[in-house]
Amino acid sequence: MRSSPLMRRRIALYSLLTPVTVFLSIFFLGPLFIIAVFSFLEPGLYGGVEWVFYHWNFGRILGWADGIQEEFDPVYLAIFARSLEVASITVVICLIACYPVAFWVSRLTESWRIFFLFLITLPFFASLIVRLYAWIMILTPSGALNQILLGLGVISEPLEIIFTAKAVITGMVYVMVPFMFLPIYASVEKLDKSLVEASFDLGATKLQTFLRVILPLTMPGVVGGSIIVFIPSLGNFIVPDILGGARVLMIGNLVEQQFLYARNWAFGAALSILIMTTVLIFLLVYVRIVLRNEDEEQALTV
Amino acid sequence: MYPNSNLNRKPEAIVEVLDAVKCYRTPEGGQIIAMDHVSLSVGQNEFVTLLGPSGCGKTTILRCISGFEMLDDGNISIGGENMVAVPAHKRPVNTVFQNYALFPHMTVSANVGYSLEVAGVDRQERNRRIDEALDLVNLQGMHNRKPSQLSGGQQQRVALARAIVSKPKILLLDEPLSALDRKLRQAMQLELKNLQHELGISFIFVTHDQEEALTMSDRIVVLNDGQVQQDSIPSDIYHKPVNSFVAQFVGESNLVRSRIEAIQGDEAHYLASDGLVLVGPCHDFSAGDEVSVLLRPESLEVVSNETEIAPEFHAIPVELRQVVFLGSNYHVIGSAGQENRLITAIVKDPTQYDISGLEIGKTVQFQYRRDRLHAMKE
Repeated sequence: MRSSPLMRRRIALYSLLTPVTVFLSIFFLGPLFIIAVFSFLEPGLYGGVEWVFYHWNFGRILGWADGIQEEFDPVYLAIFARSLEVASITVVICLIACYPVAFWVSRLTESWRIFFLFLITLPFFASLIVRLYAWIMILTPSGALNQILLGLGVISEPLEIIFTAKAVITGMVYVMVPFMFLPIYASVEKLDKSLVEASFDLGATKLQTFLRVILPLTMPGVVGGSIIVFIPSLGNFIVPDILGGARVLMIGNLVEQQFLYARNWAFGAALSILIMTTVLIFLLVYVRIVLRNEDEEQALTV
Repeated sequence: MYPNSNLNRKPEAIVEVLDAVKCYRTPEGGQIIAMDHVSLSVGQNEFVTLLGPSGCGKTTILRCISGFEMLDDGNISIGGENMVAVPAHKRPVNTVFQNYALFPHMTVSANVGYSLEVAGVDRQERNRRIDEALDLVNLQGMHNRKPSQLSGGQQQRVALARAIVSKPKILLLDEPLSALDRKLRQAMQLELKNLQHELGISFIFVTHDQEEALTMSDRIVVLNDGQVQQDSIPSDIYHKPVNSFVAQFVGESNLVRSRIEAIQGDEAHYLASDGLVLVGPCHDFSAGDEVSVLLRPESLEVVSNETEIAPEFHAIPVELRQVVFLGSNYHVIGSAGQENRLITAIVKDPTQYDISGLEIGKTVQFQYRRDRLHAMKE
């Protein structure tokens, strides 16, 4: 029997999808499954796990530990809350920094646009660790930033930035800006200029035009950029490690410590599962809000 | 061209463009003059078309009236108020854009009601006027569709409804029909004209389609190279063009560059360089003037060689070159004179003349009523 063109196209599609599906099943879903299982097992004495059901890992974080098997310590939730805060602030600052710049770049001539897009990707050419150490040089009390501010007379004594949450946020924004810029730029570039003119033509002020036409139409870029920045920021442990010193601990550092130093795999797995669950909930709420806003827009005028 | 005469003719002018100049810089550092001292006026409830080839400045004029472009020099007033310093969103004009520019994230209702919403009209009144506008353009029951779910013609109507819902004094239309297919375009032409009557507002319509301009307009302003060529009613544009550019741009034309040999009464003998002699009325010229002579193909009638030419007619002997079938009529192309100048005649009703008798190479005569000839300076 000869296969129909439709069949052949299906076969071609599946054979293209198979490698990536197999890869992700083995190297993404597999480890995810292992972590989910480990989080409900008893930690082994010298790393590893005992194959006994054990819910105290979560009790230790969330508060039902009885003090015998494990002890509840609110510090984990506090660290978790701080991580959420740092990630959210990073998203907001990236957004504020990238949105106007994306508009500015989209109005340049072609060759300048390409040049600026190249600049945005330029940091990727150097190692992240090296770049973060450069930030230490900039932010230390005797560093470039303080020297300049002191020299200009803006401040009378050096600012304490390095090894504080401010330094972590600065570094995080620095690392994440390209990931926010590119999706926003893509949606700004697509924005039809005649729609903006139409809005003015119909009597809308600049603010009204921005809120009702420009912002909704560039929303996909804003949403995409926010998600792409928020998730890695929440779990990031390199930036707080280098720029936060030992003083600013984020949830990512906690996980790292549990696996590498405390050798409590089960607890580390429980923390990881908590991060993942939180991110998923955040995403669902975020997407829901964005979608509902669009629905309201429709409902308003019916 | 003549700002003062414009003022005198249209004292109740609602849009007045005076001596407007607009230049653009090219990326290469050059300069393009899009509007070269353009003056025009549009009266109350008038349908004015800006007609010209692409790059003639017609869209620039529209964009200056709507406020998207600033004049380099000159003046624009709407309803007697100077508009030069007034930003786009405060001008009492609305535009129907060439690509419609419908907001893709809004429903039809939201699109149409946009100007009312930003002006703070309450919802009840807004809904009433949205319904009214959608009724006017025959788009009932489409309120909750998104623009992407509409056909091109329907999108066109939404754009129209959106532009008229807040009752502007003037509606600007930037080649709004160019994206529609021929049948739909012709239907929309009539609808637009009717709509303009119903609404009683002025339309300024931009097009490069001369047929469209002739069909719809009360008055046509022909533009070329940023300058107004002619500003007249459609029949004058067609029958009495002021120069060979207008004659060629509007309708089909046979143009003959000639010199006036002699004037007898109000008729002149026009002599072309290849010896072709034409006879016709002559008004503002004197013997020796260089002129362009226009003969519309439909003024020419194909008659056999032996036919007696009546005194009010003049005939050109030609050798037949080509007969082209165009559905409702035939184009008959013949060559005249020593240099084989090609002249086109239109045979409207093939039954009146035996078209099969028109063999290529045969010698016939193209005759025309002398008063159908039109002479122009350039």
